[in-house]
Amino acid sequence: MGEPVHEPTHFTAQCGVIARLSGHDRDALDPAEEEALAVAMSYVTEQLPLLLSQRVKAENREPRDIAQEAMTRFLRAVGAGRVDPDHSPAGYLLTIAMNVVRDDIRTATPPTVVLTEGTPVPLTDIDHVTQLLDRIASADSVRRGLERAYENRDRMVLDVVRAWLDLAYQLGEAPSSRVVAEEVGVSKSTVANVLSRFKGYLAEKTSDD
Amino acid sequence: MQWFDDLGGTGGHMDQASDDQDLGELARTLPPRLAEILVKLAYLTPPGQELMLGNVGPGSRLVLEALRLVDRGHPAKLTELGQQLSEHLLDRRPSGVTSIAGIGHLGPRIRRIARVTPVQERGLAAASTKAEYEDTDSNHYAVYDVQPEPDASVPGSTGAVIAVAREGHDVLLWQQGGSDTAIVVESMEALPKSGRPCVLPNPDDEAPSVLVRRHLGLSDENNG
Repeated sequence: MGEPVHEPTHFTAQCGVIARLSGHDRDALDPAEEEALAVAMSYVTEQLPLLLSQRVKAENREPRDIAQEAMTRFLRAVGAGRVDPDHSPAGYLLTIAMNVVRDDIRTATPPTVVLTEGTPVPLTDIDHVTQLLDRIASADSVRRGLERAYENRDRMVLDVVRAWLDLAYQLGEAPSSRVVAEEVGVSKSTVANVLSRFKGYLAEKTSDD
Repeated sequence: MQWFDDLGGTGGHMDQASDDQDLGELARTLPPRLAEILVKLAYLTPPGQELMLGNVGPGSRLVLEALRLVDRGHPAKLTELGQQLSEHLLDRRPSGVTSIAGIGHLGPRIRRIARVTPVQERGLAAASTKAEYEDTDSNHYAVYDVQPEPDASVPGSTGAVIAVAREGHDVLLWQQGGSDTAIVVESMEALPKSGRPCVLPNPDDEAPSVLVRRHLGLSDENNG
């Protein structure tokens, strides 16, 4: 799909520029900002098709069309104030692009249900979360506990622990069972039982330990 | 780590059927939200995947690492197994599933589970469920009348009438009526009320009564 993008970090930064300068709460831009926005728009529009894999073309979709539509939706979302410049605008744009790909694939007849793009996921900061994990276990022991859960085909543990840690990162504190239950779609009592089961996996000793 | 050794594929001992079987097992154990992420990654080049993976939550990242789908460290990259599973999930996903992406405010939502704590402050409603009609002969079609619990109901709420149908190896879900909005738990997206139904894979050909509980999070559990 053309030349690979070598600077994902730069791509991320330019998405941030667009989100910051095109936001709904922006006053008129000064000349320097206008120039920066034009440069960012040009760069992201040019690079986005290069982030799409051969699968897109294999399904008879044109990467540049996908990128154009994704950029249109992205700018609409930015204008509506739905994109936080400090909260992964590049991830938001890629999520939109994936939705455009799949909207295209399924729309032999366009759906009449109007659907919007997904919400962005937070930036990962393993070190920050590790501080939270210290109360229960190290990141390595959590991984081992998750491996044991998988060996037992215990999907519920994988899902609840995933949700618990993702929410802990978002909230900056340990989430309540109710919030985790809402995220996963189970009851509070199930969350409590699952976390108890996970503690068991954490406590298990193996020959590697 | 027997499962990973089996799936590693470095020795060239597995045939295609065995690969598919093991990937299928892994896919079934993967949390739905992570499966959704992996499907999307199949459409991206490695730099694009790096960007997307750099933005997943830390819990998601740890699970992906524990399952050997993503390498540890930075930048995050899919392993060979992760790439295989990503392609596997995309190849086996019916096109109709695609992105029934996020939703805006659609009014009170039927959230899930009987007798769960009301969450009205967030514009949601807990729900109980009863089977309105189920085609017990062929067990291919069912309609559920889902009502908010009395103490969680919103004035004017009439719940949601949800239809579930099996079609081949897919299950179709849509909302037939009611003033509230039913949500697919796995994606937190509203069920379509018109147009194309929500199509989800049903490789094990499970009954509607099982599927509706899983995908809409409805159950008969007591909230402890």
